[in-house]
Amino acid sequence: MSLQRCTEADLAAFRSARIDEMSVARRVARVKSRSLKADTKDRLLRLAVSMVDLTTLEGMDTPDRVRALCHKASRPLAEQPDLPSTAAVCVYPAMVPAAREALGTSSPVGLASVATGFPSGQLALGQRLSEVRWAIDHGATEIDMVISRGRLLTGDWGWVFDEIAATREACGPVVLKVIFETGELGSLETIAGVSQLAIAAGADFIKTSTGKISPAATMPVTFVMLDVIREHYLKTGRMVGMKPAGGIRTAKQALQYLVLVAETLGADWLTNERFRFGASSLLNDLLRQLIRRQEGTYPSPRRISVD
Amino acid sequence: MSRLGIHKTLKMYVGGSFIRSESGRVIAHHSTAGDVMYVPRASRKDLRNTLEIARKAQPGWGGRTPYNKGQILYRIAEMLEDRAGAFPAPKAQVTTAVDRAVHHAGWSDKIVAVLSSINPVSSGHVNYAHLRPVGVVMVLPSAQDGLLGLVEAICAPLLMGNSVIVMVPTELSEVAGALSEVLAVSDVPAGVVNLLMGDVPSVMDTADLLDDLDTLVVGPGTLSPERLTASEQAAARTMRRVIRAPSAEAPTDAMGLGRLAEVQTVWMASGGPGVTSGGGGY
Amino acid sequence: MTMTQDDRPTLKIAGAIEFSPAPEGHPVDIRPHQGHFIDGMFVEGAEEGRFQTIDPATARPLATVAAATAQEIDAAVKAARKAQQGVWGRMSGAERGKFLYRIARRLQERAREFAVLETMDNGKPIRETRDVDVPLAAQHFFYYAGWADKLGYAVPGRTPHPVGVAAQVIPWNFPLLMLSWKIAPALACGNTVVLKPSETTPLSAMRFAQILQEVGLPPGVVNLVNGPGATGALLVGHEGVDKVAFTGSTGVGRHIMRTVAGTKKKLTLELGGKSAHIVYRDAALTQAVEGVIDGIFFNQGHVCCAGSRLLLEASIADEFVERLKIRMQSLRIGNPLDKNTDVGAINSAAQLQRIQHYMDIAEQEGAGIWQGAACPAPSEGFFHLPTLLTGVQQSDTVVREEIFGPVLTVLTFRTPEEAVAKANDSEYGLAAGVWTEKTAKLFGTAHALNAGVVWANGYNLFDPASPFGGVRHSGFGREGGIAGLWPYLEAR
Repeated sequence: MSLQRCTEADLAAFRSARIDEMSVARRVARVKSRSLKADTKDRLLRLAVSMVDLTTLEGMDTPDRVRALCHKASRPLAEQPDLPSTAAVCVYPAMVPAAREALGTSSPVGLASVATGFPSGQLALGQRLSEVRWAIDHGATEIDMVISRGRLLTGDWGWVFDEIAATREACGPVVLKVIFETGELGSLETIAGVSQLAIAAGADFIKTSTGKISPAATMPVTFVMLDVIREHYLKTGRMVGMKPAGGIRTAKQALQYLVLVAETLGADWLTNERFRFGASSLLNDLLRQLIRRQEGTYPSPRRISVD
Repeated sequence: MSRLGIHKTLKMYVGGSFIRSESGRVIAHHSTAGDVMYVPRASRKDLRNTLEIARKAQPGWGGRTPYNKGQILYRIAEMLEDRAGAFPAPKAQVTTAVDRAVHHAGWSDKIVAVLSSINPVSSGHVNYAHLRPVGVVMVLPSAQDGLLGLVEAICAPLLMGNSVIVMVPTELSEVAGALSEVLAVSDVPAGVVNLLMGDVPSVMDTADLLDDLDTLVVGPGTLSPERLTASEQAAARTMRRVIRAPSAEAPTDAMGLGRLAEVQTVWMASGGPGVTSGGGGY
Repeated sequence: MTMTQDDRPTLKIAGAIEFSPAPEGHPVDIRPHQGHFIDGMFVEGAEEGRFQTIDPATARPLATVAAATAQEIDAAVKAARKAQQGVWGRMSGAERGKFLYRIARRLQERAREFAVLETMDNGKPIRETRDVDVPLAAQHFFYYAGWADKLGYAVPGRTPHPVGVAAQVIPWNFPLLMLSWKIAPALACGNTVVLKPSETTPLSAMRFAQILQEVGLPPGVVNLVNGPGATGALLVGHEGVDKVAFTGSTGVGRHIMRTVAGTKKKLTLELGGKSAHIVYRDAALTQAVEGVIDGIFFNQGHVCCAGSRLLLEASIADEFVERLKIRMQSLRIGNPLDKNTDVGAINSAAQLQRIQHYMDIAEQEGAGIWQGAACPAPSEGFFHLPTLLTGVQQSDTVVREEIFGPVLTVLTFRTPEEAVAKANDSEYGLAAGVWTEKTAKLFGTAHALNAGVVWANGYNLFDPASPFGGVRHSGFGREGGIAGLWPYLEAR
């Protein structure tokens, strides 16, 4: 795949994105007040399970811990074998071999690896790219890269474009998700601009956060990013995916995000090929709510395994 | 052997020019000196033309800075004082009028501060209510108020950024003529202040038909109750503001000046607390 | 219904997920026969002239309502006079304020009940009555309660006095909210009131009278008389009235102004509009789409200040219209009591007919008509799909006249000067909106617009602290804020 290019004019356009925050907040408030049909809720809870990138990104991660995660991802609830698996597991590069071993070669569960010096991205570009290649060589099917926020905030948008394009090239056919760490970017306008930039540089998904800083994913931020995806689609026909990550812990939140997606991008994005949740504890709450809807009781958290 | 004096022909003041009525009609009237003088009698067409001129002049005047408006009002006072002798009226009356012009000159860069507000709305907006000119104001000053009434009729709407059409009572024609000459040398832009003369009730018959006139200020005793009612009824066609003004003895105060303006409320999205309240939202 | 069909990428928004019928279940009993509220008492009213108020979402009757006779109106005005001279006008501002605070609190306590009742009688979505109408009505009383003992600060250089008895006539589009806009400042200033609700939406006002009894408001301070326009005419023409306040159509306002001419009655009129909504190319466009939607589809477009004339900078016009259409496809039209409903019922058959009449004109004028929503409109009741009229001109009837429905006309401009000129090219002057991220252009445009209210990067926002009212054919006088006190004070 050839390296993406952009002109100064493109960069200027990215940097002049305009967002009115008040209006975004009003829009989000409205979406949050929607109430869903019972059977729609069931469908969306199952869909949400299938959209989870089940994540562990800790210094204390071990192959055992990752194996447990892979089991959970493959079969989220033993008592309900017909539930879909999660979209992927998401781990550090060093954990990719263990995850691949646990998942096997024919698993429907994707294997996402953070790379490029996650979470800060503060490594030389060459090292970051070799990390990407290493993860892919060891079985990663998806790469979650971080951008250089320092470069972005000091105005070097071209540099950020190039690093994404270079990572895109290193990924080849492997799915590339680009993490902005929106909590560090300061304004919705910067977030909209960098979303345009990342999409132009070849991102398959754009992703809000590493989960390492607060605020992580929020609905206003997600709305702005979905809006950029929408504009890109309407202009080019290319469908880019979205992954809010961090801070989404409850089924209720997940459903609100799905309504936002439905009302912004429509039915074609209600699939794990175009929408993911980067989360760890969310899955258990989705499962709890599914049980609750089926049985009419409020299950104790203890009913579901902690992984 | 005494020299034969030169009599001044009385003219109206419209669009910065001294004009006779296009109709050529006049009203015979005794001057203060006891001579017969002929006061131009504004026709329908004169009033229509004047309204067009005043309308055209208003945005430029309204757009001047408050400081500039104040300076021009003060210039009127200076010229009035300078030409006190030109008025067929006792000096004291002229100096009272001068002081009135000075008083109003000081308002132009303050009145908006007195009557405007920042409104603490419960949403993330900067909300302010400020004043905009109403547009073209026609004033019927009371004959009893003399020169002071004319000066009040002009200065109050003027300082609020409006253009003015003054319908001069016949008794004040001579005074109005002298005042027009003051205005002509006071840097008041052409068309911003216009003085028409003639028969007030018949001019009002026309004024009632002019939909583009924004506000009518009626001085005490200038219209019969029936005539005033007719004008108020006619005003309903366009929601024209009709103000029954008090005597000019006291200057139009802040609240009174406020009626020569429109309150405009502006909501500026600013973010901050309560960003989602304050309205519908889809 | 026409939808553009071509091979450009399209989004499948409508129906992407189903929303449940989520009807608000709060029970509300409605007395089957409504009369008037005079001198602190509910009176049954005459049988002659009794009419029905209906639920516009189902076209089913909710109650019958009496039409006030001349004697009843006279009794109401006399009760108001007696209360003004005997009690209310003599009471200290602080005490008057405490009554208004009590009213505000009661409205908050019974908010859900009022929201449901209002939605049933008016047809507007429960989301709006719950989140906008009722809370704002309560806030309005709370706001003016605080003014009652501070009136001197509102009239610099003068001393405030009450005007006397106010005759107030309100419309059907925000029944309770308009009642609060009228009654709260009037009472704060020491006036007493005779108010006539709209004949299609009398129920919330009559329930409000219960609150007045509950809080112990002295009899006669607020009186309510029901009836059609003729009742309103009798009321504003009554010689015992000192002040007339009307919100409604420009036609009726004009008639009232003629009636009041030659009398000493003070008058405020809050009338129609055809408000311009300007979107510059340097606006935050997605949010501007939201603003435009808020501007015209809020309350089915039954808003005097609705942003019904969209003015788009030519270079973004086509794209913007496409975005509007996409957004409109997520608007849910239907049962107003459903919490998911965005666009509710048109208030009456007559109003629906009027909108349809303008749709016929639009067709004759060659407008492109596009309608869309997330779901079909219900088959019973009175509904009108959100509508765009494109390809229209400044000279078209649908661009010049107020439609008072969910119908947006779309025009373009090339320069800011042209935008302002076109926006100001209207006999009306109630409100306007402007969208740009360029600050100087935002302020410059806002101040150049001949309108009483301008929203900059927003639309249809209301707050008791914010004066509201128009210029030219949109009326005069302000409601809300300090300026909202002036019409109710005799300042000497």
